[in-house]
Amino acid sequence: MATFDLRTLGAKTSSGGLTTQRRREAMWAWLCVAPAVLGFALLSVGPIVASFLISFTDWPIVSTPHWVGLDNYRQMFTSDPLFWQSLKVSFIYSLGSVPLDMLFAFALAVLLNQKIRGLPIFRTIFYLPSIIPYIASSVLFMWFFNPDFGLLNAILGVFGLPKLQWIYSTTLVIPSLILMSMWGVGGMMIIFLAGLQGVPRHLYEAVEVDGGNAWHKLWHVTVPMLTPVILFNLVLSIIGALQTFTQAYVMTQGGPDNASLFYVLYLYRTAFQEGQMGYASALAWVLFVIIVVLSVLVFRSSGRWVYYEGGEK
Amino acid sequence: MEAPRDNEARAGLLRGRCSRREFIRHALAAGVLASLPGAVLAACGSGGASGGTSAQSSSRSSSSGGMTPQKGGKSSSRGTASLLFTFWGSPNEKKAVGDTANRFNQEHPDVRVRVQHIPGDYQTKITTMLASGKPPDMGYLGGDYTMLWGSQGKLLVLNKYFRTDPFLKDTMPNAFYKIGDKIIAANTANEINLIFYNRDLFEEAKVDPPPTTADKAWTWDEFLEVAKKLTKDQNGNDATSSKFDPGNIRTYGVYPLGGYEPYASLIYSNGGRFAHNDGTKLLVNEPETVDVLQKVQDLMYRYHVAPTSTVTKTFPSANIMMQSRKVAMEMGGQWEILDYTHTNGLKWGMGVLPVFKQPRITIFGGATVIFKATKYPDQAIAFDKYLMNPEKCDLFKLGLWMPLQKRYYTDPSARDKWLEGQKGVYPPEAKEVLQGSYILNDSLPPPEYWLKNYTEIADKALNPSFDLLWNGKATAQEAMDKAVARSKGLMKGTWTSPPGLLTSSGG
Repeated sequence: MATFDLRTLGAKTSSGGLTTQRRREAMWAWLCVAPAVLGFALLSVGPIVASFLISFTDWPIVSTPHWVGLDNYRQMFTSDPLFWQSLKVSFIYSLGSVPLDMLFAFALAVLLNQKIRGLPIFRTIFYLPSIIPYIASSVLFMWFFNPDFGLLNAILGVFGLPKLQWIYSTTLVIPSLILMSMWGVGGMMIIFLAGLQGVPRHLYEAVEVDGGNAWHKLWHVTVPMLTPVILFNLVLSIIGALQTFTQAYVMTQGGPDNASLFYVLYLYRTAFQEGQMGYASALAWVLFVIIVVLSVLVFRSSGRWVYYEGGEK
Repeated sequence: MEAPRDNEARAGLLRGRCSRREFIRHALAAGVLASLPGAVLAACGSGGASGGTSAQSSSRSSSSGGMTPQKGGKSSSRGTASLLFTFWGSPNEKKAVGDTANRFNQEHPDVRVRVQHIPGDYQTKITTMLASGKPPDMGYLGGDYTMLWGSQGKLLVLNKYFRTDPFLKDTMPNAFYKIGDKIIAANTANEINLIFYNRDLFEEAKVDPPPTTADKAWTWDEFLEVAKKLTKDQNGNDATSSKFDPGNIRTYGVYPLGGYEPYASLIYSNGGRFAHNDGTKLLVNEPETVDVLQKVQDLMYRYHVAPTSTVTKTFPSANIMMQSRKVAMEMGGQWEILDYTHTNGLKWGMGVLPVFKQPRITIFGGATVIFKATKYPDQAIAFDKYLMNPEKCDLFKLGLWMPLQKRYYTDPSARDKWLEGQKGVYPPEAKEVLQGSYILNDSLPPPEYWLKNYTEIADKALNPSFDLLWNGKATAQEAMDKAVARSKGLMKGTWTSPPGLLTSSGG
């Protein structure tokens, strides 16, 4: 992992030791990153290492763990239908929600980058849902999805369409949750918006001079210039989607018929309801490996489609 | 968020420090790291942590509501046995348990019971306390964990107390959690299922109210007929009428419940079994069980006399639905009496569940356990005894709990201390519904009292299959066949021998 070279912060580098001023700067720099580094080292590294070791044990919490080698992993891949079911649920959800959310966030960002009256108000309105706690929005959406007097069925009713069962149907529960995920794209939208504002105006002017229209501007300037931001949002939302937990925990408890048994919900149930810490840790590590592999794949591909304005490779 | 005028300058700035690309890489690496397993567990654990905070704040708030105030001199006095009792429950329950502890502390100057109310994620909290070597002295515990921890020797074996103490000796045999012959807990209180109903709706439909004793109980067909007469569409037609419109129902005949447990009484009554006596095979797809479950499903999808489970999930609680005349009857639990009592303007009554081949009722209740680690086992059992005494703890006369001792079901003077302890709680028919041989001799505990691994069986085999059943996506036979198929590898035997009624009747 490349690290930030502190010496470049100073005005000039000397071949010898650091000057007093730079030393002070370095000290401040370390001091500033200390909370994060210490927090990570003390609160995260320990549990991470521990969970790796625990994943090779059979440990019903409150009794002593027994070393079982790869048994947990073997059981997972050979004789646990819920492992595959939860993996399937999380993947289908991610496949649906990641592209949809990104498109939606991008579209919103483009709209909110226009020069119109009341822009700050619109930006606030579209950003607000993403700061509402997931628990609260889950409860809210349970009302939206209510088959009898929910808002969504009321809207369908206006158009004479039949009522849907939404999160209470095995086939519709994941699409419903994907729909709900679009409500929380505010954070992604802000990042897109920041990226949009960094696109040099002269490039648009060049398109105009060449007689291009709005579509040309979007496709040949905006999108290429934003590819680093798209990469950023893509990786983060894949990770986020694969770790989905709260909605299912609050709204469906994994049902009906395990149709919304997300991977992390299954992990949680294994750890804290059934008390099988060893198996739960193994589940966690498999998810981690999946996320690392996906992230590496996205990075590998990024060389082909991400354009860095700075130009250096 | 004004766009910088000079983008070139900004880009240059970025280049000088750390290129955009590097910046994004660092940020993403951090993102991937955040997905590490430890972090996943830590994120999950935060739910428990927040539960802890709320427990703290609630115990703070309730100390003003009359719960064990720490009287400096008294608590620090030498020789005082200090006990921590943890529990969950509604605000009513919280107050009543706190009051009981206060009364106990006043009567026992040498003991100080501190109560801690843990409203959310109770099991996680107690597990954490136990795992860190500091369990409470005693407290509520779910049945499955009671059995698990009892089998691991974490809980105090209570045989000697229940064999010698005159009050405890009278406890019904059905109310125990046992590992083999070892009593590791008794129910906190007894609970059963029964029928609640809206008296006005019965009078308007000119239907006799539900019977109050098992020998006069409705057959299923009689129950169904009554439910049909009580179910009304928007035009006032009931479900027996040919003009009945199931798409626009104003009042449902019966409010059903989800899951297996509420129907266990009916299944046992029909001679159905949950599992083989040795606990190695799930038997919920046998005809006696399937018959009952299909009849319950038919209430929803065939006769339209009960709302579908999708609908009930989003309904308010049954007593509120009954108050607003959306339902006429509920197959509910006796603990709801507490809520019914506080339902304004509702004239309600109660009756016994329908009976199939033989009168059967499941009797159950969460456990009150004493942890083996406690320094004061005798004081702990003294408080347990106090808490299960209807003359000391208000929750019995307030309608939440049923006593564990036989005398309250046979001796009218003991009974009246419970059922008439507080005027206006129990309706007159409670003296029939909640009394006598039906409760004492026809009752048996549900499977978690004797079957190993019940929670996992329920989570992985039963509940998903019941989803299909209550959603109308499968017949009872299909759903239960699926449950049995899913139970493979989950059936791990028994903790203790199954209840006598199961083994003797062969059913």
